[in-house]
Amino acid sequence: MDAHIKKVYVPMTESGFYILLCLRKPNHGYGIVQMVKEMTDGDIVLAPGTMYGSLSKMEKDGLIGFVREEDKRKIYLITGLGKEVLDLEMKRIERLYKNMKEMR
Amino acid sequence: MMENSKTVWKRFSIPQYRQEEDYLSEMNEKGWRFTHATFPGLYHFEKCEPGQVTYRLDYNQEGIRNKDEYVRMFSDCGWEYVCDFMGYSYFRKPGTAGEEREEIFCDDASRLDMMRRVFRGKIYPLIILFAAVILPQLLANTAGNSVGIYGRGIAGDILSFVFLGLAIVYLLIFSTTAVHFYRFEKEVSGDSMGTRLKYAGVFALIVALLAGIGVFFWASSFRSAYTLTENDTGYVMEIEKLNTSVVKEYDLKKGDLVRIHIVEFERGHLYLSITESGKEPVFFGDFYNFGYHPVEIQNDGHYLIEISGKRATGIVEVTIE
Repeated sequence: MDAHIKKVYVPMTESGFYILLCLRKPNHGYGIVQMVKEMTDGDIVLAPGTMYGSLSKMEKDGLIGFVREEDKRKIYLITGLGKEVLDLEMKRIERLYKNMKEMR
Repeated sequence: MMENSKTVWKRFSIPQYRQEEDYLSEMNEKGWRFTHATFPGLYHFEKCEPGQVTYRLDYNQEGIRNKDEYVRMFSDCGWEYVCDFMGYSYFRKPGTAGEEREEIFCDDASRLDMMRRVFRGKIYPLIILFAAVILPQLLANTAGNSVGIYGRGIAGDILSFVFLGLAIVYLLIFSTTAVHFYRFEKEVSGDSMGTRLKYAGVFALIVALLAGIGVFFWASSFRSAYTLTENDTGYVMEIEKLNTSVVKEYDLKKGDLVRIHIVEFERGHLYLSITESGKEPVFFGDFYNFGYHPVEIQNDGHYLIEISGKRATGIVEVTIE
């Protein structure tokens, strides 16, 4: 993983994290919005500008790949690099969570 | 009869899209629904039921290139696509008063990303144009060494002022843009020392450029610096910069030869004339047609030898035999 990717994606925004988390299975932007809404009991509603911008940026940086188009919706899937980044983030958040639990 | 549509001319600077959104919402509240915008800032409206509608602008050239999916993403999320104008895409969503207005960006990172896209798409080209065309043209025309047959004459003077005007307009655009970007960045990511320093640097650069251009313009177009050395047969003018006219008076006799020799000519424009006091010039020329050929005086009298310049640099020698 090169320095640029690390600088831009580690640590990651909450929106970015959810996008990568959801794209471990092929999905499109709006599908991700719905999934995240469900997962967070409606607390997090990803907005379309953020979603479109993030997806095209992540595709350009090689974190996710375009699979196919369905009904004018682009379907993406996480790449190897994307998994690496997600893994780093998961470890960081796990540690955060563990430390939070210990200190409480 | 009530009109069913109207057009309003409005000017919003590049980062003022927030004001633009508010304006479109206000118009909707008054019963005017935005339909599209045309150059150079004409907003077209049609009559509608007054109502609360939230307008949002995105700047995403990739979205415009892949419009179907881009618009689909927004419509899936409940945003109606209105139009594109100057790289911005306009979206709207009905919303009731008092409710918190909806955003098309849900975090500051993506909001800043949009500002970066605006900067790359709209400000970069202006900076490149300024640095690659306007500034070099201003300097060349003002220094008086612009290339081309018209470059050194009156056209050069006009161009010099035109590019000075353009340069000032551009620097003003850069300044107001920087102010807006600063406000925006402060709002999004807080007022940090780093942000302040960055913008202080930008402003220092703009002021330095303005001052530099001003000094250069004055030094090239208004200042005169030369030495005039008289000798037995005439005089020599060594000109660092000439923006005035220098007149020397001589009593000459019929048959005298006046030779005005341009020993060195670097840049600018030189005019030379020999005139009998109170009469038409017996000779008038510029650096193109003045060479070694002497002018023979036809009548005894009091003569004025005038050398005038515009942004001129060089050495002129006047010899009377």
